[in-house]
Amino acid sequence: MYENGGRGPVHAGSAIKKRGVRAAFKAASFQTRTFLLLLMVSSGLSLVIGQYVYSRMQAALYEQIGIRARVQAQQIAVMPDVVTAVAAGDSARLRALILPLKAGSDASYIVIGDRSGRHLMHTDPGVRVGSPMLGGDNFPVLQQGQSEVTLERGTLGVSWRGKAPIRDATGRVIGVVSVGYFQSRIERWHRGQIMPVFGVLLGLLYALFCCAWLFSKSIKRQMFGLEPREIARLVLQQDAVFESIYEGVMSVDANGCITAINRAAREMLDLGPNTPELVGMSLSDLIADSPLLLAGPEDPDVKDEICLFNQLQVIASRVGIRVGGELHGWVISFRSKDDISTLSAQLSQIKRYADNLRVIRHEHLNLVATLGGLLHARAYDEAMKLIDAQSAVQQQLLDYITKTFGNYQICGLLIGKYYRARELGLALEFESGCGLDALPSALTDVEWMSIIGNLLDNAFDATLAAGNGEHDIVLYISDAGEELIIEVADHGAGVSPAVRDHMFDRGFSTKDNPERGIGLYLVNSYVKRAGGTITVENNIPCGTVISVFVPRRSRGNE
Amino acid sequence: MNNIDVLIVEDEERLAEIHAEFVRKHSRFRAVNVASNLSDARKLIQVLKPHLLLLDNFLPDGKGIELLEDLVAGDIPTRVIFITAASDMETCGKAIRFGAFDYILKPVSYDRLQMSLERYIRFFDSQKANAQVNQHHVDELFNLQSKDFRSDKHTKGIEDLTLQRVKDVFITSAEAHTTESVARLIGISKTTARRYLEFCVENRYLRAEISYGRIGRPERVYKRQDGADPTP
Repeated sequence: MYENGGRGPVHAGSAIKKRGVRAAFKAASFQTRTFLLLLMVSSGLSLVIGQYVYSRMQAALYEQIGIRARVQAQQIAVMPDVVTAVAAGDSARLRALILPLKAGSDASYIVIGDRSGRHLMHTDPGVRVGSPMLGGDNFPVLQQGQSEVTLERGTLGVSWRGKAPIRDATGRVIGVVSVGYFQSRIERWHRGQIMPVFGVLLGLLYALFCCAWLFSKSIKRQMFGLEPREIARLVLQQDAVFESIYEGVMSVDANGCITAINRAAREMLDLGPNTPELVGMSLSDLIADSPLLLAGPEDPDVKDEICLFNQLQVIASRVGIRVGGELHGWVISFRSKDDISTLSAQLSQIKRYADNLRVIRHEHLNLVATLGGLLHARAYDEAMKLIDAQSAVQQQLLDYITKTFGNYQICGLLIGKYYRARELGLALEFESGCGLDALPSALTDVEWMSIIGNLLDNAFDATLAAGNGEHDIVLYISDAGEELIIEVADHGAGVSPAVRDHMFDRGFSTKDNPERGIGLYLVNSYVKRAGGTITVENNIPCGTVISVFVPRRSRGNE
Repeated sequence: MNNIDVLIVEDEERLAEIHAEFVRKHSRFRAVNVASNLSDARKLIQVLKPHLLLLDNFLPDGKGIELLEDLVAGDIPTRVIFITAASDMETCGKAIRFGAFDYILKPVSYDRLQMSLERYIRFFDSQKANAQVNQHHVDELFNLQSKDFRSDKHTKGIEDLTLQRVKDVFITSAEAHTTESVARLIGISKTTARRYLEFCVENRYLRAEISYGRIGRPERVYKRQDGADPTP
């Protein structure tokens, strides 16, 4: 609507000019364009209003003047002296009668004519008595006895004239009175009246001009001084950046409804690709009771907290969106914990490797020296034994694990845990009689790995925390019977009955580190899903035995 | 008898030659080639399509484990005997997960390598011989590939003496026992007690059940199976 209002004046002119103007308009800054548009609309509006007021006032003025002229004419026409003088055709008498009236009136002239339409008297001394009255508008007056208002060119020029018939005692029309107002004079009055109105309109226009300027400036300020196309580009760029971040990012409003969620977050939470459907959904519907997400307005920001989003361990941060101290929502960013654990593990390993390398090099030199000695003494068998011993223990372990556990994933995990234990100064022992043909299909390999891995980690931690000189952890895995049995025994401090009741709750940990609270919770939830049970007992003489029993065939198949 | 094509991937030239000599001593192996880096190995695998790869992990232009990963991902039938340093067990765990045929630690024990090669010949022959695939065949192949040493699978480290002592606990009374009580009575570790008790369950001498006994926490209790023969 505004545009239509503005376009008229702007796009006047030839086609070339139009294009030029349009291009210039487009090139102008948003502020200028807004300003110009507003200005055009307001001046167009003023113009229309001005025109309307002008013509209305003019019409009203003409009507008033017309009535005034006619009323005067009618009054003069019924003056008995005038009737007598007209009947007598006494011009001098009429002049004496009318001139004082003319002096008291604002009319431009007063004319009295006889019944044949000739001047009997004219206030303008230049008009000869007996000359015909011009304008041709006397007919209705003289023939039909009607009063009227006409706009005609008379003897002295264009004027508004009020005409009234003069009647004798019998009612016969014997002459005509015409009171005239020159149009030029009316125009002058009109101009006198309209000028203040135009003044007001101009003032209004100026006010609009200022408003338009301030308005466009304030819009510009609200848009951070950016042009709309810059804003559009920024929005697209933000979108692209947001979507391409490797971290999962979500923002929620103060009510906990999602306002944005990026691709990584959707993938990690397994929410499917469709963003518009997710926006507006309550976050608690998507991610079951995670304390990090249920934040009140008073809660502080949280950095790098380990928590569980739909069975996925993540490291999440929560930052409040605060505008002027008021909370408008939260931004939650998170990464899968596995990624970070791998990274930090790698970092700490590099340092350890550097230290180890020095030791290994020293040992290696010793070995070479020994071998040299043995070869020199031609003790070849001894030399061979020494060399084989370098890898024999590990090779045996490798062969033992791979022949005992019939699952590549578990083998890999156990080898990793064995050496992890060794790095920690602990010893992972396999109870004799371990054996595993195949894992029950109730859980995926990764979930089985999570169960075994978490139980072992827990045992490592417990043993280290106890610090009682014990360092053995015994693992027993067997699927010889109806059930798969996984048992991990440590000689740590053991668990008190109070702890035992809660050790499988999420977030429960005997330590401050919240990372601990998740492993056993996962173990428990996986085992439950597979239809198994977990028992926790005290070891002899101290420590904990955690045993997992899972039926090898799910009950439905039996 | 078909001959087996072998490719040795090893950057230490002399070591590669020794490996090659060792492999050639077997009459079944032929066309023993050597690649000294990953890119050569990839090319040679494309051209020669060897049956067996002796793959060292540390190579000048990358890790052998990457090649193994590619072979698995590319569904290439070449089998891999993965060789890595004893200090690099983590990679070895990974190789196991990728399904390497065997894993040998450096310094290479030639006795161990000999075992591995013989196992491969058996695997190769049984693969060729059994044109017709049945479950038995599949199991056999699987066992050859991963666990041919598992012939002793059923020796569970069960000693008759200890077993009898465990059974004795149940002879004296029909009462239920836990690993706790059995371990304390006999003086063995709880995990060992578990192992013997579960062995008895397996042989239908005992039965196990979950009891939510005294304090509502699950406990696994063992009871004598009715009519079970108490003598070993």
